[in-house]
Amino acid sequence: MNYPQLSVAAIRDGLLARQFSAQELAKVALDTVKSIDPAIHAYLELCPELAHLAAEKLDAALVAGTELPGLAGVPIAYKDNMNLQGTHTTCASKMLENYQSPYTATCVAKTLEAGALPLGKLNMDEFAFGSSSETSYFGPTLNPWDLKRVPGGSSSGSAAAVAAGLATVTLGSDTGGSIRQPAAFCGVVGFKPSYGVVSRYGVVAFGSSLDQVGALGRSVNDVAATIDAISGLDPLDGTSQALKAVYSQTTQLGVKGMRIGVVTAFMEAVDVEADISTAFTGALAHLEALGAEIVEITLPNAKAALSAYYVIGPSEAFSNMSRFDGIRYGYQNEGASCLDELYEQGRANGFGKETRRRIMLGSYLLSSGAYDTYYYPAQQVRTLITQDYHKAFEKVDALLTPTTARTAFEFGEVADPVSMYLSDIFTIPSNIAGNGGMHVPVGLGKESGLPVGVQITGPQLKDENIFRAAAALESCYPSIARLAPVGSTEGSAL
Amino acid sequence: MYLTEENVRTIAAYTRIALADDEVSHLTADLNAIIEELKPITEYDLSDVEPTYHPIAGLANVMRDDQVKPGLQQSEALALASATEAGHYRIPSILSEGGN
Repeated sequence: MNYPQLSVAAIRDGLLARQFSAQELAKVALDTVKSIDPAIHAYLELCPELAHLAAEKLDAALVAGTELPGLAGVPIAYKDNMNLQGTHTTCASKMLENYQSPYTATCVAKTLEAGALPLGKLNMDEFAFGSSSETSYFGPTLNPWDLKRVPGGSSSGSAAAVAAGLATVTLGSDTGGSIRQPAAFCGVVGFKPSYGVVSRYGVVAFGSSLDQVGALGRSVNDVAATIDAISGLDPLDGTSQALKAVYSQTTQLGVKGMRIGVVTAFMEAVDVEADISTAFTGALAHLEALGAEIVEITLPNAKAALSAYYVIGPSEAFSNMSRFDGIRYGYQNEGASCLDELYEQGRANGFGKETRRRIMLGSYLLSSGAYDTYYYPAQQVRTLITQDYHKAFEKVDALLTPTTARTAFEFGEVADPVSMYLSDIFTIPSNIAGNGGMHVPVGLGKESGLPVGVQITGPQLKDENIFRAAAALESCYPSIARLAPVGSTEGSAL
Repeated sequence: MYLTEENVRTIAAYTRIALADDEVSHLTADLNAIIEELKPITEYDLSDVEPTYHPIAGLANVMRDDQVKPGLQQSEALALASATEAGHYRIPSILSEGGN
């Protein structure tokens, strides 16, 4: 039995059948990271003590015969903007290089309560500002399908680790596509829930009205089990919602009778690569063959979403990033002669180039004059985009679009910030409106040989529609490769 | 051109980020290119459109009774700081002539 191929359900079955213990699983999972991760740099830190502690509890529960929780024995890792007591939380920034989590984020705590085995913390774009991992202070993560290419971002390590078999599932966060775009580039399932489904408490904030925690995995069912574990009302996050849906119970329902929307005009306005178009057309045909009704809809204001995002995102980021003063925690320059110098030198040297650029852009957009020209209109455009979605979801139950316009690009290929920002055109509208979205992989592109797939978006707070359609679609691609051919899997046998 | 180099220096000072002289021209060009991309926002007829500041409509303040619960201890909070003294954060003088 090879550990990287095990699903959440198979791990549970294996534990119950005493085929392996949680301790054996923890050891194999950590050894696999140690042998393969040097090739791709998905991890920033391992936490073997916490993994073995969780395994010990689980093995005791097995002996006692108590019912196993939802993520029992599942090797998991977290984007490094999520606090886990006993680890660093660096946001891949020099600013937080030495920051040790004094508490645990709700989403992380819930995975531990659900019996998951925490392996460590994952690389990302610095403070989640980026789409390629190239802004990480600790160096980029490499795409396990092609080491010359980026894994996407900002949840770069979260996607690459799953693709390389270095965790069964991972948590990521998504402000404008930061789960779905790396999932697309690495060929894994990546789900951003509707805003409010998962608590943001203990996750370092980027854009507070856009950020949402989600999960990545090698199958829709694995991701559903993870979201079932981490979702729900949290007294520590006033925007979290109490919902009744159990996502893992919706994945067997099929799409027969579902209405799936397509937005041809929006797709034609974007230069989509042939491999991506082919993946989209194929997925649409599969859904129709399974009994879904395909409905043409319009999102007339979707094209304004990108500019609205690049107003709202940096403005909120500017506000959130003001907490880094180098005094209470974070990087501090030595020898500052006065307080202003301490702030200015610490923030200049502690933040990377893209972070400084976003902070300054946000400051400008909220300044007198620019506020009226950009910030207020961006919030009005947000209303239009939200209304577009409301109207669309009166006619359909889910939307099918590409996730990205292209497959993974090479390191250094997209150098200017504006082109990098364009890579999120298909994912940003749902962050603006607060809807959920999932990337579903459908194999490798014929021309590129790289992972391709599609995005399924649902009505706000009705993410069960997404799981239903995604699981049905996934069943049409039973033989696609789910693990990237990187490193040796020797030592991963259980 | 939306921002001059002088504007960029002012923004840097406001955001408490020291700027090296050789960074200013690059940063000015980058920011102007990004702001140019924001143009669609300025071209909409938005006269009767209300703003949306938050994706969850109708979300109200969440109130609860005040309850005494364990929280972050002073020693835990101070453990993350670069400099402390007698249970306080230690900072340099707030005046530029000062020093510690």
